Amino acid sequence: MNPIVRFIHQTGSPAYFYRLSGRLIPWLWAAFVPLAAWGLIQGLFFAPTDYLQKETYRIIYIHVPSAWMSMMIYAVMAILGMIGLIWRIRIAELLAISCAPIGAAFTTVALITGALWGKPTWGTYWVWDARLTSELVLLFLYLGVMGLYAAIDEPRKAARAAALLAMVGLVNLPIIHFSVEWWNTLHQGQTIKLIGKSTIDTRMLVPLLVMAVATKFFFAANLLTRARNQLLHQDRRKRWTKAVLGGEPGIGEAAS
Amino acid sequence: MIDHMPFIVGAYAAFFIVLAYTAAAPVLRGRRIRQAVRRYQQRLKTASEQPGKRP
Repeated sequence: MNPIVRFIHQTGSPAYFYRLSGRLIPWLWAAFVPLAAWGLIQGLFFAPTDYLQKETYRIIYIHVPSAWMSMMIYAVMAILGMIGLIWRIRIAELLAISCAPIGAAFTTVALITGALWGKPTWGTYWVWDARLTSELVLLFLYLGVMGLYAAIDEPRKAARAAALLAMVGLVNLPIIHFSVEWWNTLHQGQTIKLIGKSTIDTRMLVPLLVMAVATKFFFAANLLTRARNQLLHQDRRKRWTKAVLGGEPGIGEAAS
Repeated sequence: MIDHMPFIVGAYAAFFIVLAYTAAAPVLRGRRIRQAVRRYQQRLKTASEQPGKRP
């Protein structure tokens, strides 16, 4: 069998997923902590001061990675939900629903830090412009997905309903991304570009990119932890849980 | 001139509080779930050893 196909099949097994994720989580935290520490220290103390916004711009090192994560996590959630819906892969459903609280947390951080950045630069904490409003809609979508999942008793039906809502909400992502180009907004346009030259100094950019990478590790570690909990809770009466929790010789609990 | 420091401190405090909660909550929940599962398995084991007793 093709190794990739075999890996996908293996990951679909609850016991295999539980053990594999348990082994991965400590490594993901181990990558997150030094990267986040370095990025924050560089950003707060060593990056040069902005000529216009002065020190307030240092909020960028938490605001921008959080905003990027809020959108990326939503896309991941919708894709996993789609995989769960089409191929009925239960682990994908669990991962999709586990994305929602993490995405909601990053969206909340993006909104709060954005408001605190807005006051000294724009003179107001909040304005109903396209970027801010569409980001707020994203938070409501996350809360909607979580609420819908919690409202249905049967977990697999709940996951499918939540996945559908997540997929519908995908339409909001291009609106958030292009809002600063499509409408006149108070929010500034893109400073960092994948294609073309970024209009930010390299000494400011590097800590920002490091923080962006660090938040990915945070997401991955948190996602796997939440998915393991969901899996163990749902399968608490199944045989494999006895094996992974040390009930049978030779198979110990992998982590935590 | 506006003092920027409270805004920076507030933003970083919000970041740390929200992310610390997001990170800690599933770890604590996982611990509770594992304890509950172990207790359930222990009850099953006791019941199988003493067939007359309900788990």
